[in-house]
Amino acid sequence: MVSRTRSHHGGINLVKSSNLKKHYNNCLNHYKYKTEEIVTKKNAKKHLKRMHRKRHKLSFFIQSLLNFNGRNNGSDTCSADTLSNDLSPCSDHIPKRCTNCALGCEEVGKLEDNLIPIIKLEEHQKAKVRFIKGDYKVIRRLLDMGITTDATISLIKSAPLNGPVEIAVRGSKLALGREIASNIFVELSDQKMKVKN
Amino acid sequence: MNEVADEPVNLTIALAGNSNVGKSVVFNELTGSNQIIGNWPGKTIERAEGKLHFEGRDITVIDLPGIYSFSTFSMEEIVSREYMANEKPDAVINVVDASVLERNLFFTLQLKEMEVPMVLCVNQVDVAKQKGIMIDTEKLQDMLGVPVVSAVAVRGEGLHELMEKTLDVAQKKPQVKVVPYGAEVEKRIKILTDIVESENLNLNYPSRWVSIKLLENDPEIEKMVGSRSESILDLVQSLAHEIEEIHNEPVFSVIASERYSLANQIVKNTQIQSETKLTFSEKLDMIFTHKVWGYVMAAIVVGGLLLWTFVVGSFFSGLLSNAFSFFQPTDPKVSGSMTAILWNGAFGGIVAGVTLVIPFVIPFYLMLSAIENSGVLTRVAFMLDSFMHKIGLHGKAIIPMILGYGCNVPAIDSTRILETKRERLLASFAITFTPCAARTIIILGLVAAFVNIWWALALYAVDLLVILVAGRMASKVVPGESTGLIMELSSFKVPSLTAMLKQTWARTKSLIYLVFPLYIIGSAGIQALYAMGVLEPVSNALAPLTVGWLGLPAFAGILLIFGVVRKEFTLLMLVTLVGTNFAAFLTPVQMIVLALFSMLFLPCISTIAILAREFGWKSTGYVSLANFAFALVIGGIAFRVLTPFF
Repeated sequence: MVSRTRSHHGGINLVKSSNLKKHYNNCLNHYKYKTEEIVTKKNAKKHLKRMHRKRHKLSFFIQSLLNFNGRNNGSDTCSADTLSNDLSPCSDHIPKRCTNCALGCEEVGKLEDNLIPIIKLEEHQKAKVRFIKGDYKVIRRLLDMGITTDATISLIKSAPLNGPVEIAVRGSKLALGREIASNIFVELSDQKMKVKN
Repeated sequence: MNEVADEPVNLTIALAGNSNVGKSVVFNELTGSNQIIGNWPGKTIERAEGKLHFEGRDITVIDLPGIYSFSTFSMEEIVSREYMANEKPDAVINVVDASVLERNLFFTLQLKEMEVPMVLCVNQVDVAKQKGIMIDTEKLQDMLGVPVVSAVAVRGEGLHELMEKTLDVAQKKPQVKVVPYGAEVEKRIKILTDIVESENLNLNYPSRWVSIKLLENDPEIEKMVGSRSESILDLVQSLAHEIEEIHNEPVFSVIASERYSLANQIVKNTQIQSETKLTFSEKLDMIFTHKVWGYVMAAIVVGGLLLWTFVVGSFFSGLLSNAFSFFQPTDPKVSGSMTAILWNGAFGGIVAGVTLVIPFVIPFYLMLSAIENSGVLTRVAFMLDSFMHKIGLHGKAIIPMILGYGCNVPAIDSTRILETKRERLLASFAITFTPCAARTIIILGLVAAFVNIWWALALYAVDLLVILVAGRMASKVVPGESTGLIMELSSFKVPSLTAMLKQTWARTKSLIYLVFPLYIIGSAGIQALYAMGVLEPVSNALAPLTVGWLGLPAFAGILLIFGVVRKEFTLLMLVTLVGTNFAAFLTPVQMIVLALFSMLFLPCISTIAILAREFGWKSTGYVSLANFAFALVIGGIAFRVLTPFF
């Protein structure tokens, strides 16, 4: 029982083809509201074209929930090759402002200067979380720990040797692995501020 | 449900809250139990139960594992929410950490959604005060609509009041006030709640909670509702769609954000944060996570634990040996009447246990509980995260591994703080190579005492290397990807002496009740078998391995067989067979090789049992085989390489 529930934690980008369908449906569960019908692997491309206007939202969804980006479009993931080709203008730009998705992807590109991953922050610099990319479960856990979009965080320390970072969020201190931290994009607050003295 | 208030009845109350807020401390204070406490998240794995007699009532107290949310991403979360729904405790005490109120209230708000009668226990107000945080409990009470008590559980402060209010809540079961979400979300929750209610789904959970969970896309609840009414799921989809249209974010993210902004609002109104100097904890933190000193401190923690055990252990071991020297059998008795042989063996077992096991185990566990309670472990995990990635794990896995230096069995149990089964298996595999207290006794009793301390420490260094190599190999073989580190770093605490003593007692008492009789029986048995000449054929059968490959005396085969039962038996049986002056029977190289081989060669039966329970017999077989292979290779090499040096 214990092991069964716990084993469900694998990253979506590394789903084996046997689990593919389950994960694929799981991913799409979140988005199917938008199309009123379930998007399947076969008709995904058609849908993507039809929803050109909503493309930015879908790309947010794809990038955040399916963790698609340039380096993992292997054929054994949720047919990443098909989808990422369709979204190529967007998927080249990693950060996407999900809170401001009314902006098209070209415009989003301009915001890149402001959006940086946590690991690029300087020590004691404060910033606002704008966008989180990654495995669905990781995102849910980060949300539970208080890293929601619009939360103010500050970097306390970055461990040496490509180690994790220590951040402060909502009065608590968290250690985040390098990879997770590099997928959390923040917008710098205007001035540099020390957390404490 | 509707008990008469004046009548003494049995009540059940549950302790719930985030990890590492002091639930177990409250639990121990209330029930007088010795539930292990520790300053690292995820220590209470299964719920603990205790009894309390308060104002004429028998109260059962349940200590639930610490969780951050009621989703279904971990066993703890599922266990907790099913407990709330199915067993319906009379009241829930939500323990929160006063200095991290906002994050704690995120959980409190979810607990309120479950509509359980609850009391909020704002714990560690003393620590918060040091950080310049004051909490207006009355205002908090007003805003949340539940009774609030502030407490310092380690000193028992506020717990009487807490129990009074809990009893009050348990008897009256007041309606929990709803804290609404933002208008556009709340409106849709209402619509859904009405439908869920009118459909009469006969769920154990409150309708509003079910509605929120449906919107959050909770798979369990979706399945539960879906099997009763398909149409509700369609409605959920369209409502979720509307919310996503408004917020341009997935609904689960919207709801989490809203919950947090509610928590934030409450904190803004009830908490006064004044500027403070750097606290002691923060200064310590700067050292423990410093880019150079952090590693030094990590090494000091682990190395210091072993060194302390050796220094204090050998001091007391010496004292006790002297005290027993009057009675000590100078030579193992192998002839004479059977009664005399048995008596001699049994007595030898007692002496060996008292002089070799007790003096080392007690200081070890005392120091381990100090380390555990201080909060140092999470810092070590932070510093060693990148190293742990080399063996397919992340930093948090270092915590069970350090616990493995105590005993592998609870250490493997605590790998549950890791996220995936793969990580738990890899960590458990590494733990089987970690020399537990019993193996430390062998290393210290043989090598440190009869060769020198540096060779003993060298064995630990070799062991670390083995862990690195074996772990790396295993991470290549076991399929799957490693997850990243997400871990709370809570403040340092000065470990309380009573907690340390209680914990040491909790961990060593079985040694006296259960293991000591084993020593006596085992020792008497082996001496009798020895006298009857039964051991010889067994030793001879193992001679190609022990004598031929490892260069040990033939009787080592017997020691190793007993070592699988309990590792320290290797040393105790050696005492039974040859007396305490090992140097007369073993060369230094043989001592080192024997210690090295018994450190690595097979997990003891208790460890094998827990491995099988957690991962099945197949994985356990592979783990044991790998252990044996490493022991064989390294033991054989050590014998051949070391011989010229001595």
